[in-house]
Amino acid sequence: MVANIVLSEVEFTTVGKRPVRPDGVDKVTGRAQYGPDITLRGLLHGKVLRSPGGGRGVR
Amino acid sequence: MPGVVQVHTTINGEGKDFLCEPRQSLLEVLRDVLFMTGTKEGCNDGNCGACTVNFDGRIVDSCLVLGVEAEGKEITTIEGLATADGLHPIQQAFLENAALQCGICTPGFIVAAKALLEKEPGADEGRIRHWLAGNLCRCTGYDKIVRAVLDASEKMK
Repeated sequence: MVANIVLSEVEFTTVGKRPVRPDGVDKVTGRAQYGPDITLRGLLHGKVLRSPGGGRGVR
Repeated sequence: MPGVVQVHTTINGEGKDFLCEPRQSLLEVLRDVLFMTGTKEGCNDGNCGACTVNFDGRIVDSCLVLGVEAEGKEITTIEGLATADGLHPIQQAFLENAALQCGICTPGFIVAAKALLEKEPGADEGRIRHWLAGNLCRCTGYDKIVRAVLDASEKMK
């Protein structure tokens, strides 16, 4: 069996670790605010109006 | 406002009254009427499971349920899982197993997994994969999510 190659004996603080994501608690509790979760006073909403079919135009 | 209906329901153990139009989905009510944005909108047509909530003990895609159907029902959303004592074991397991990246699918997965582990404590990997087939994730490749639920399944036994 081939042994793992040791690239460095230096102890790293980050490499080789799997820290808990800093935004993790907010995301698993539903508290994280994404773009669509934010409502501002006077916020305007846009919507795409598509033609119902090829060459039929949009009224 | 014409055509609005008053609905009384229980969300996360708390009585809630709201007004909604008969055409509005439960997802729209949660997010746009009650401002409970923990429940996410993914596809809005029942494919992705991001909007999963517990509806009288069953998991449903809240985008496929009408707000008026919530009358007299008990609903649990992602906001109802953590208590003052801390995170639910499934939430904890998602963090420890790095089972989320962007986090949009996460509330749906956690609500769905909780329903499974309450119904079938100690569910095995096959059962977990089958149960979570209605929830899509585009970041993690599912493996870490399944490991997280397995981990929680063992801890909650």
